[in-house]
Amino acid sequence: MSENAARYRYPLFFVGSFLMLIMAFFLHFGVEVQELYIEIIVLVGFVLFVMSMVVGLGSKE
Amino acid sequence: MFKTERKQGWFPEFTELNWRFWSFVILLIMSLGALTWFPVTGTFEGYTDPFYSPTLLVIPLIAAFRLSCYAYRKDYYRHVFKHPQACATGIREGKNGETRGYSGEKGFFALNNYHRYFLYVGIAILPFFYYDFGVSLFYEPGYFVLRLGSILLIVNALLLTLWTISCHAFRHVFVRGQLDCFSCSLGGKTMKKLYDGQSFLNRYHEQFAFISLIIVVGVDLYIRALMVGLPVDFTFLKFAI
Repeated sequence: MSENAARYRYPLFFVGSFLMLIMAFFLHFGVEVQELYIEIIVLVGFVLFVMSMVVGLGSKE
Repeated sequence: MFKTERKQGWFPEFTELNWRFWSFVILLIMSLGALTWFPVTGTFEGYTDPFYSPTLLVIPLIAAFRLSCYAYRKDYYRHVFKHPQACATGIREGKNGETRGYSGEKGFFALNNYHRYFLYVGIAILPFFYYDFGVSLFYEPGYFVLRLGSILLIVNALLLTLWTISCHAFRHVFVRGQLDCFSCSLGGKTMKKLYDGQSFLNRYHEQFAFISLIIVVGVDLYIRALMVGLPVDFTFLKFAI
């Protein structure tokens, strides 16, 4: 992974976790969104969360 | 004497416009809310959530073990708080003006200095993860079942073990990392071998720390997905015993 990507590990971590948590709140408060969309967004959030760790591990920073 | 411009202590963070810090605070508050509204329900079809018992009982200590880990410290100082901006350990001056070097992490009021005590809790809960793996294999009476979830559970347990035994505090406490001279002490050669083995694992401590974090969160999400009925479980092996 390039060092450039590693610089954005925290923004990736933030957006990933934020998406997962926001969807949890949507479920809790019963916001009317199709369940499929929620699942897709949680998955995207988890992928970003994983990416944030992986780009960090590849860097020497 | 060399001095940096950095401010000491955690309080300056609250007075500075630091979006990384504040966004992290928002994440923490949201996570606490999510933990309250979506409590871990425990077991499902033989799978035990890694956040469930006994982790649930000691979750503040486990969280402190993660937070005071050297790998996480490096990352949150550099990338979350950006504080200090640069590191330099100044030369400390004694009472009579003599200089003293680094003297270890002995400060009483620094949470990070308690890492080795949190390590004991971390070690104590490790066997439960292997037990949960065993339970998931034999949850159907009279059958041995190997499912995707069981594999995830054992991967989780192994990574947690590797992360724990590659810990810097583990080296200090269990493989005589506190010694200055191996050949001067009893059983020095054996200990040196153990020390070298542990040091080899320690090189990958950061990797173990972050990969195990991903797996723990992943296994939790996976079990929650099973609970709501998503078809993500696959059986690889099943036979009567």
